Amino acid sequence: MDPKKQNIIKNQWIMVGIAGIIDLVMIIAALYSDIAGATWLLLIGPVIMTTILILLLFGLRKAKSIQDKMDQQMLDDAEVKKVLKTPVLDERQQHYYLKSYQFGFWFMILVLWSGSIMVDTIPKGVLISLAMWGGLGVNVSYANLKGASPFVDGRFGWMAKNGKLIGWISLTIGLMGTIVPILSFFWTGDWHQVENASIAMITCLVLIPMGSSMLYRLSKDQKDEA
Amino acid sequence: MKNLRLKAARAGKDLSQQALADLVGVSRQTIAAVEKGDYNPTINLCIAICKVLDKTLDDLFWEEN
Repeated sequence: MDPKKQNIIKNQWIMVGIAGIIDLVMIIAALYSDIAGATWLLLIGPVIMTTILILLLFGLRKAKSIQDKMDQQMLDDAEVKKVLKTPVLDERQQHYYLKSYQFGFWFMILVLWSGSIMVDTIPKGVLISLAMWGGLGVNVSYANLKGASPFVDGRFGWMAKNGKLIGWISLTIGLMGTIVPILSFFWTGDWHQVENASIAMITCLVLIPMGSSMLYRLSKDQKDEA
Repeated sequence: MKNLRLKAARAGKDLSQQALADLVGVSRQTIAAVEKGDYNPTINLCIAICKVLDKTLDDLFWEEN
């Protein structure tokens, strides 16, 4: 692959932008929080995030020097070698990865639109978590199924090695978090218990397709390789 | 449409899908998808595959009527 294709400075700036936005949101959330005496606790997040942001900004100089070396085709340089060895999603994976974001976004829109029709029947909190976690679930599951995730691609070191374990853990937590509140309803007959646990239940429900898609893709790959 | 010529060229070089993927710098699934005809590679990927297999674009990717 042409090393020039990897624009390290651009990637670094993207990370700076993302970290900056997260930092800003965290600072505003901390300052506007009305949880008594917890503002200092909520400020720990922004402090960590600001440190990361400063480190990323300092890293820009390093990124520029590596990019210059790559542009000059200094492929024997240790830093350049390290960058080139780092696995990146290939063109097919990038295509499906972007598509998975698209599906996740439209799922979110669909849920919020459906919710706006049934606004009186579904509580706001449930609707928002269904839209957000559901969108994330669609995004991750589709990417996993298409092999466009570090967890199902052997090139990505420890993430791929532990893909099966992570898949099983997600599936188990997902199943437990979904089934337990439902069973408790049948045992106690108290629907409020399920209602109260609904947001946590949605999160766990989303873990089921995430974990199972990971396991399905890994087992399919194992069969293909054999 | 399946790309049997790519599969044959790969087998001719005694390379597994994984080995070819490593040489080209893509995932094994991508090579499998190109062979199965599930994914149309870009010209850059086609060239990279051809270089590794010592073939021309015509040899591997040109569709004859």
